Amino acid sequence: MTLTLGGWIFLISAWTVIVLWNVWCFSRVFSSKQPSSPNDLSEDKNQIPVHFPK
Amino acid sequence: MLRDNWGSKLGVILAVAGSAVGLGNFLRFPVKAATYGGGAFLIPYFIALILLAIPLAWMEWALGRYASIHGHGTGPGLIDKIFRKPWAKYAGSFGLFAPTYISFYYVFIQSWLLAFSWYSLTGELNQAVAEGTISALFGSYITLQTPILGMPAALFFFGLTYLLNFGVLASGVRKGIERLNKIAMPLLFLMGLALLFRVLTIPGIDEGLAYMWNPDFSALLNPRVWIEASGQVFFTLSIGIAVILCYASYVKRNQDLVLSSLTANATNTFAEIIIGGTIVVPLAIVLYGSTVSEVAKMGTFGLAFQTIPIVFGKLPFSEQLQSIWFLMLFFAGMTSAISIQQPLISFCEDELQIRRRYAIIAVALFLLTGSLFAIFGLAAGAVDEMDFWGGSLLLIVGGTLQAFLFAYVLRDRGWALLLEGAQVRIPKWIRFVMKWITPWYLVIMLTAWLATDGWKVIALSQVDPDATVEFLGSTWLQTHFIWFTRGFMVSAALFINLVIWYAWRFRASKKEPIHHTQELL
Repeated sequence: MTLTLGGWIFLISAWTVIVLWNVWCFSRVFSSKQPSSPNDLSEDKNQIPVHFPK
Repeated sequence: MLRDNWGSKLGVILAVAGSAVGLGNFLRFPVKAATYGGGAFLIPYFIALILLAIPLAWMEWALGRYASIHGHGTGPGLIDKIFRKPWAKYAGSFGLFAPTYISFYYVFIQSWLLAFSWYSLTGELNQAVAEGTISALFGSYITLQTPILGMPAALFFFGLTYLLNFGVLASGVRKGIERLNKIAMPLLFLMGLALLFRVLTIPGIDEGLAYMWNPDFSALLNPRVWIEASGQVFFTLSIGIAVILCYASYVKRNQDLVLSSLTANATNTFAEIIIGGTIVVPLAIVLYGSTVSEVAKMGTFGLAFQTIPIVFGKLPFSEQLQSIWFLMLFFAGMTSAISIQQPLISFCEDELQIRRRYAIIAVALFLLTGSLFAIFGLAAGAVDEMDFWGGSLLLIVGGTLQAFLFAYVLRDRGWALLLEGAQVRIPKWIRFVMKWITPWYLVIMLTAWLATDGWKVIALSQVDPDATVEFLGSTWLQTHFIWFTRGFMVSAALFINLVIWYAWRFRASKKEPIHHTQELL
């Protein structure tokens, strides 16, 4: 059994989609602004009560 | 007491991806794909990824943020805050069961990988391959008959792995879990890519790749293929067991969830399809001479610990390749193991308000009882039973409950939390999918799974009523031992609920608010 044209198409398509998906995601992750300081609680909205939209 | 936070976006992405990337990526996926349609398997796989896994992962991240607002990171606190009824916190204990049951046995399996990495470095594994005794080596090891330093090697490596895991966890979310994942995940991918390159340069490997990738479109007419693809997508992403929920609770309110979740999913899919899909099945077929059905029969452990070392034994630099293989799986196992141990530690810190070091000791001792049960009951079937309940049933049920909670209880509140700080836009049609397709897709999947496999295991209909097993030197009817294991798991669940009762009673007795959220109000 050898890799058919259909097999090659599936292999290359799947790999391409996954690689592009990873590149797209990581390029946005690395281009985003990181928090100024992980310990800076003044920026941490966790400490503020939340009011949800109804 | 202030809750820890992730130090960076990359840290939480790698931690969630590390939780998701495990043995299933490298061993379960390729066998499923080769068995159920080859390349065509990817059609239902990607459909399930878009309609099921990615939306559900977003929901779990949002639930984690909801919990964190109120100073919680696990099910009891989350459900208590959503429903605000006395029963709610006990219903939320459901979110701690799966991590508990999986933790009972997972670290023992993780320790096998460390041991076999050691045996491959010392050359003992290669020697066993050359002498044709690798099955005996594996069997002797897991049944505690292989000695090292005057004690069973399996217990020695289990103890070492246990200390390593809790050592990382003791350092906290940012300094322990995040730091580990920032080192282990790139290493894992480097090793995976090295193996991938080696496999692709083996003469005639396209014959093996053919079994993985040649599409059999007739398989798409078989409902079983769609169930298996959905199940694989679901199992691979660690969704449904409240591990992502716990990790997400350590993300700050102003930080993105949407892109982080999507990136973790992309990383896991890379490990699964590109690395996992290229190594095991093609190697076993080309160098071991197996057929796909034979590979499927070998099972996860047979493939990982016996077949692949034999296959690498036929190549130059076999010891190095074996070492890379087991170290890669060990790192995958470690990043997953600490993610399932963390929710219990978060629970102790958040609800009992105890310092992390005491939480670590309490959780380590609690899990140790279950791990010892799993270790000594392995041959009798304890691990299979724990895996069924923790790693299969509770996973799907938990995912279904999360989906309904997000889509029909939190509704707009859930969406608001998910989109807060989002760096990428979620298309509007995904909102429709998350409300009307994902929850019901899960109900169908759960029903189909119970009808095809699940109920047979629950009802013990596949167990020979006269079969016997050995446990701690005495002979048991297998059915009795399975019920005994279930009783043990129920006891663990009751203990967790007892701690929840105590935690809420303790909190009510405090005159001053104790959660960091309230401290600053």
